[in-house]
Amino acid sequence: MPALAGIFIIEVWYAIIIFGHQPAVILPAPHRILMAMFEERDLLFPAAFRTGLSALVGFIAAVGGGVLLAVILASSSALKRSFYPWVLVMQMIPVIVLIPVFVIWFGEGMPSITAITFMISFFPVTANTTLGLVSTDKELLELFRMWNATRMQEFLHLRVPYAFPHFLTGMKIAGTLAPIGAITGDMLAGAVSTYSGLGFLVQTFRAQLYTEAIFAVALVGCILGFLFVGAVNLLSWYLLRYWHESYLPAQPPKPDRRP
Amino acid sequence: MTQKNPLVSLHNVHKYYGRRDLVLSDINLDVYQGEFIGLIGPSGCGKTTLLKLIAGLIPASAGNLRIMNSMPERSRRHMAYIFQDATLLPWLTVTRNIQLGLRLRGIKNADCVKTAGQMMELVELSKVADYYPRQLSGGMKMRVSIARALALSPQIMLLDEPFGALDAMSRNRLNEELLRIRTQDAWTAFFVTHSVAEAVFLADRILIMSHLPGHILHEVNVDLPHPRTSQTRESAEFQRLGVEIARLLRLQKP
Repeated sequence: MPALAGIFIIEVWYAIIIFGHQPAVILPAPHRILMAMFEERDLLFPAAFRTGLSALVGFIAAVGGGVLLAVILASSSALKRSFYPWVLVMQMIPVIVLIPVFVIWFGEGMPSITAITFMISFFPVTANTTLGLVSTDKELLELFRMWNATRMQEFLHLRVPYAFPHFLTGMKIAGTLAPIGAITGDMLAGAVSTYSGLGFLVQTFRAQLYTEAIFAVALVGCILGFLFVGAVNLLSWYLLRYWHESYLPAQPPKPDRRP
Repeated sequence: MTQKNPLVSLHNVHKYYGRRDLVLSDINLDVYQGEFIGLIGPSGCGKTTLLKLIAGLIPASAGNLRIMNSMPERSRRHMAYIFQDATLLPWLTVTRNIQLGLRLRGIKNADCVKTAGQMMELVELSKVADYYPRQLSGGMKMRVSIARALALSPQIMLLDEPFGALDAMSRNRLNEELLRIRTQDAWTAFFVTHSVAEAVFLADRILIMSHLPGHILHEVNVDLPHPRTSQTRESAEFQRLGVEIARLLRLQKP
């Protein structure tokens, strides 16, 4: 079904070009985008690699830092009450506005871009993981108290696994944002000599009115996004496949008819 | 020593929530080793609060509460609490769920596995040892919950309406099973329920509680012979006790 729908969308695309007499500068045909992608491969793929790398570094740092902050926030209700609202506020900051500041701090190129990716991916991870760590079922906590479990045991055997689905939701959001963050960052903070990623390439192609190539960059960015989200989904499947609602077969097996 | 010491004793126990709301009023109760106590009363009368006090999960506001001659929190390792929900950890298999309490006590892996195996046999769940809770029916989950509690060989079992969410057939079956399991080692039980029939079937002594603030109004001894089976429910004495308790519950309505 999605394949058929995809073919339909491409048909409509061609129809608009042919019957609407749109020149390639406004809307290039799909095959021309692929051709541009092939022609510019020597520029595109190294750039994609560099953008992917800064996205990955920023993303990993965001997941690590986000989990660490979440653990600290969840460890005391006073900390959580004081700082968690600020985590939510920070999430609202349009990071793009801060790009010039990052450039001043870290210089042009990869360090700034990684920092932007980090900023963009950090808060969803922190917010969701904190929520997961503090929303543990009350009766399960009482069960652990009946067992005289230590705080560490409670954390490792109950709070952490309980927070996994929340953590993975945060990670999925971060995974979609990371490549976008890296490309946006590169558009505004990329540098010719030291670093040129996908965003910088877009700026070059725009100057040349090379619309096909811009679409080609979008396509490559799309592939990059798929890789990130795919990796997170794979991890999520691996961790939750046996027990979480979202990964269970529609009809769970009934091994025994007795109550 | 003329009389055995009570295993659980409550004297003038009161419980307030906040400053004003009296939930339990002047509870006096002595329970001896091996007794099966049924707690029955209108909903929201503080039955669960009473169980949690005994478990040491919440503190009493006033009065004296001794479990095995000690504070409730100190005696916790001899007690097990069974909730209305099975409260299994969804990310662990049946056998792992049963083993967890033992593991947290630092018991060797081989012994955990062995005990869990015995418990699953006891509640007839060996076939589903490697299933996850999601794959089980409500009644099966409850049996896992019971097996998990018994794995720690408690002396006191606190059961908070454990079969309340089940249909009547499963509930009767599990009641019979619970008594069968208990013949192995006679733990002392506190069983909260809304069902008169369930209380009469299980308990040796039934405490009837009042509306808020909860107070013990009546005590009824149940002298039905053991072992109790499905036939017990058809006996005249069972019927008579049921009628009597239902009447006592009705009488207290203001």
